[in-house]
Amino acid sequence: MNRTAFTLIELMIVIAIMGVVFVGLYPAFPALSNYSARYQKTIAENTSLTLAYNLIRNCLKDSQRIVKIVDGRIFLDNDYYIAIENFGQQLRINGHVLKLAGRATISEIEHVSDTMFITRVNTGVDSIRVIWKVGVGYE
Amino acid sequence: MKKRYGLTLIETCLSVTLASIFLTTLFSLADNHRKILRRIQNNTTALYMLESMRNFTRFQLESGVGLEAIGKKDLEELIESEHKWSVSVSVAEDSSSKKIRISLANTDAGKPDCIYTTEVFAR
Repeated sequence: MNRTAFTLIELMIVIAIMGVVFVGLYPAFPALSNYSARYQKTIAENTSLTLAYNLIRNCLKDSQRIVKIVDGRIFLDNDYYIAIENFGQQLRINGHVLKLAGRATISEIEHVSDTMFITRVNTGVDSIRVIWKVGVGYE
Repeated sequence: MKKRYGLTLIETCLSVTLASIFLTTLFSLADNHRKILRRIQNNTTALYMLESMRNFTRFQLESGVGLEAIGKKDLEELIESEHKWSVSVSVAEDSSSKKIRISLANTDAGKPDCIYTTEVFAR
């Protein structure tokens, strides 16, 4: 028999090889690899902000009063403190340093009262003002 | 026997089906990834906004404002997001305590995507 066409099995092998090549070349596609990088970046930003939230709340729940706010540092009555450093990209809470990832920042402290203050939180897609209060545990 | 020059109809149909299944899976995966990213970002924004709303409510309660006086509009003023969020407030009371329930939902897509809820108890 004189065959001049591909058989089904040959076609399927070609598709399989193309699939393997595509997977191998995946990092070389700028659009797809950018997407992957953006995905990783967003995960890192949001994880660091969630960690920051828990650290700040844990610090505030044991305090009753804000003593003073000086140069981006919040001093609390039980000798705890929260410092915002490096233009909001780093937090220092009772000596523990937390670097926020990517575009995430916590900055612009405003003193509201002896139990409350406001900060600006940049999540990467939103920039929101957050009211914080001391002496409040988890409900 | 007749000489074959190309693919048969069934072979072409099968390869087109395989290709379309592959492409559909790829696109739906990308779409799912986008939705997951959006959800993660919404979770973080909601976490901080609800903290703000809880603290605002506690401050109002400490200032002597009643739970019923805290309205949806007061809390909506705290939202500075570039995305659409809707707030709903309800007051519940049982034999021992009275509480305000604050619900927050992202409504970028028109309908609420995910509803985040918190409660503040009147002490």
